[in-house]
Amino acid sequence: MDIAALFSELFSLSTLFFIALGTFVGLIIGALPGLGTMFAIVMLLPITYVISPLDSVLLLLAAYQASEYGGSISSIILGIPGTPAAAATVLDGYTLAKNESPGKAITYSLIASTIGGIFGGIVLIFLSKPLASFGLKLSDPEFFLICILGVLAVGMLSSEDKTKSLISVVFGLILGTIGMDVFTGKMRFTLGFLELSDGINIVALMIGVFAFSEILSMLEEGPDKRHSFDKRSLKFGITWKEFSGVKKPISLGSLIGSVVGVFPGLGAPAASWFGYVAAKRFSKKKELFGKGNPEGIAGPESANNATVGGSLVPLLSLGIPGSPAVAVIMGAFIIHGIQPGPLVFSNETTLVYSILYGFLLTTVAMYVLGRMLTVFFVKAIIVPYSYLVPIVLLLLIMGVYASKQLIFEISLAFVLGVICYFLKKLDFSLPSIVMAFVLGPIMEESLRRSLSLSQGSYAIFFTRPYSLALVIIIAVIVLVSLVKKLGPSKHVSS
Amino acid sequence: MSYKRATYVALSLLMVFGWVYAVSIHITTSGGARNSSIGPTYFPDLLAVLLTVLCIVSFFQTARKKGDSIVRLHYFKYVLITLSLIVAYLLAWYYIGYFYILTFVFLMSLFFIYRRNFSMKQIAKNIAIACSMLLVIYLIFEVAMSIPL
Amino acid sequence: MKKKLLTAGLLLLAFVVIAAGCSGKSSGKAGEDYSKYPEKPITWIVAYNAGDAPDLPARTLLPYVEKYMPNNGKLTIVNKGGSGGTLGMNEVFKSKPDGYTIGTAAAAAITTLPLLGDTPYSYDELDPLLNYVKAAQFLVVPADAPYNTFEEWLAYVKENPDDFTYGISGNANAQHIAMENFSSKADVKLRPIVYKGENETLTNLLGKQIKGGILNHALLYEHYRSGALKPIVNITGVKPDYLADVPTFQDKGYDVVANFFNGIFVPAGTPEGIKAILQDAFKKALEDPELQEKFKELQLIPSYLSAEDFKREIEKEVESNRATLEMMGILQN
Repeated sequence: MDIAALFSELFSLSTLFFIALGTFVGLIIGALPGLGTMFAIVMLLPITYVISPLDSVLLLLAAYQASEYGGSISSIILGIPGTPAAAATVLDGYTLAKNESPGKAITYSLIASTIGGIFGGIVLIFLSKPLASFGLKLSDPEFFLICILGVLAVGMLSSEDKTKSLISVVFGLILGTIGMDVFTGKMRFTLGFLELSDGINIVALMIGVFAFSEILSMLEEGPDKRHSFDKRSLKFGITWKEFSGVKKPISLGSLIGSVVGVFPGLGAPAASWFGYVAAKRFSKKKELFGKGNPEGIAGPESANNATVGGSLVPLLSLGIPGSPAVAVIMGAFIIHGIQPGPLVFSNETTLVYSILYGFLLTTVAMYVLGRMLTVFFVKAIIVPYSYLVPIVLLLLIMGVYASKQLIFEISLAFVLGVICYFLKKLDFSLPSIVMAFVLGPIMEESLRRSLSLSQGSYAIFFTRPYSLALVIIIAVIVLVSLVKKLGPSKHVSS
Repeated sequence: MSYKRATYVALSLLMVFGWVYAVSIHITTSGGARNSSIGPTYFPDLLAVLLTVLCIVSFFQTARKKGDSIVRLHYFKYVLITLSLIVAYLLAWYYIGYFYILTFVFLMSLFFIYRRNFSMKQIAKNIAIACSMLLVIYLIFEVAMSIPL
Repeated sequence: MKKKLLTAGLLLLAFVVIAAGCSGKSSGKAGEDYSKYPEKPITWIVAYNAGDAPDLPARTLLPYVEKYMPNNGKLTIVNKGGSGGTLGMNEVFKSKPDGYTIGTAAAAAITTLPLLGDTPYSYDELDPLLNYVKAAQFLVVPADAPYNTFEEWLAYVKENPDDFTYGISGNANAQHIAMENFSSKADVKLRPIVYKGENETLTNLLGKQIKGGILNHALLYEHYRSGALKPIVNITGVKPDYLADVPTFQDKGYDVVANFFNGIFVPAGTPEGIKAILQDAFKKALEDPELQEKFKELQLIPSYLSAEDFKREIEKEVESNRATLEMMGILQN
């Protein structure tokens, strides 16, 4: 492999231009509430038909990477996730922005995203082959157990009304079952709507549950409301001390994100929630979560950017896309006549390595452009609600429409939004609904498929080494939390 | 409405929703081949039961709580008007079409209702903002994505 | 004030009349003069998401169809994916039969899903215009499996009923139907495991969670070349170049064949004159040597079928699928 040729190709003007273009588009589209990662990548896809393979892939990768950060901009400034994976960032990001400093919140997010992205890239470059073969060993039984862990984690998320959080989880699980049942082909609660046979569109759900309800809450503060900040708070930048305060969640998030990204089917939204939960679990300031704790921004943001690198692992080593966004990128490969798969490393060595190192460039581009452009976005927080609300409302409507051109979906999001507006008032947990919605189908499907494979025997969870390990971990966690609950009361009664 | 009362209503609605949901699934998934020992009704039934149990628990927890508060819906008029406008907008879009004109009307109505200012300056400002929004949408959807509106 | 209201009312009325008039213009006039067709871009609905399998051949074909369209005709592809292609085809079904809406459907949206009763259209309510691509699908096993040929595999499954698990990408899809059909004809017991797409089947096959899987030829290619997987039998009637020596069910004497096509459909009632123009453009595009080269590079198998041949194939398939579905207990007659 000729290193000189590789670098000269990588740093050519055209490649750098396309990386910048992808980053710019990804940032903006990600930041516009509702549009999201898929939209950005699909929008750029036609351009890839006429440019070189390397430029095509890096263009789309840059957009993917930047949009995972871009989504947090909307989360932080408007309290509305710009992409599904940025939903966790709302919890602490928006609060920190409103109460203290939007500039700081954005800084935490950008730095965490960049580090997460780089970590994902490094994992991709050095650990592709071993991770990919490891990934193949895990299948439905393990996924089911991982989802159980996830759902348990959701229980740890909310410190408010625990029962209502659990109800929210169940509600989310119910919403996740709507659609055509994979195994029997029968419709479940689709009420005759063909549009629901694939299930509720995650974009419509997210926009409905988080965004529409948030807009209605905003209206309650009155149309004349506007946030005001001194210039300092709008500026980008955090101190070294503040940075070391988030080192732990960033490391955790990056690790979680890269690993979760490797498994097809889990994806950035799940990873960002895991990142949030992990950050909270290992934090010394748990009580501050939900009130503007920077760790609650760093955890999910590093996780969701790390999944970008992780999701490329199965693509490059096995030819299997790790997420819908990567499936589109795979399409770009195929259009240029390159088949990702086990042979691509030997057939197209220069191209593959250029992509790997180019990936790192995309994270750098994201940081640079992010820093330059976020100044403008932050200013949006000062816009009075009387303008902000209609504009965002329209963007949300268009965001749902962009995903699938069906007015049905907009109405669905709207109805969900109104329902969740009331639920939120009564202290139900909206994040639990979304996380359950994402994990539920995976959980049910993997359980049923596991049993289908084992012909009905539950022993499958104990005979497979990784499953057994997971079962033990779950048992330990459950026991530990039960002991914790019983411990203090014993103390009191004595 | 009092917080407790509202919670009771919400919990009841959720419970009923769960039952309707489970029953409808039993109806729509009857017959057909079985590809797994756990059928399509297992999870939904489990969820409906869980929902019912949890709602009942929450019912009692809420009843036992000391003190109540009033659930306020500030600026409710604005919320109501906005919701009605959205419904009207969506219906009009579905049955009549003409997206750009409708959206312009929609935006302008909201601007006027929120700003409550009808001076020439305000009108001009509103038109400018509405038109730029439409331009952005046009560029992104029609030009970049070729999604017809 | 009254005068203003009157003017406004008249203007509104005029506007509505003109709008109604405009929308009426394109709905076909008596006189059948299609020399100006197409007068505006034709909407080509691909009932699948961007990047999905049927998207690629359509987009590759588009510029060549435009090349042979009269009057500098242009087409725009609109992706409308979801529900196995039925959402997009529903759009086509509801569209005006004026020749400005055509749709690409893969087999499932026409020959299997409508039979299950969940689509607003039935398979014969869409007009098949032509077919342009077919895919081959293979039953594939890991390279180290103890059988190399169809006969060896058949012997194995005969001796070990309910042991061979194979992955399919959807319940009651063409793959499932073909395999069930074969199982009953060969009197063997196999266990289908349903996944949510071929990528999942592939992942689980590579990970040896299942003993076999049905994959389409393009997806199989790299893994066949790298030696990770080997094909046992071709479940379709189409033989791609590089796997031409893998037998089909029919080669081995079983009357089982699955059909994975990508065809163009138009709303019922589209005028014959317009259909002829479209068919001509597509046919010429498929015969274009440059296009054929491109298809070859992308592992796509061109396969033109005229409207009558296509319709006949579809009818045959629907009958056969219906019979198998009833046998499987999915459809009650």
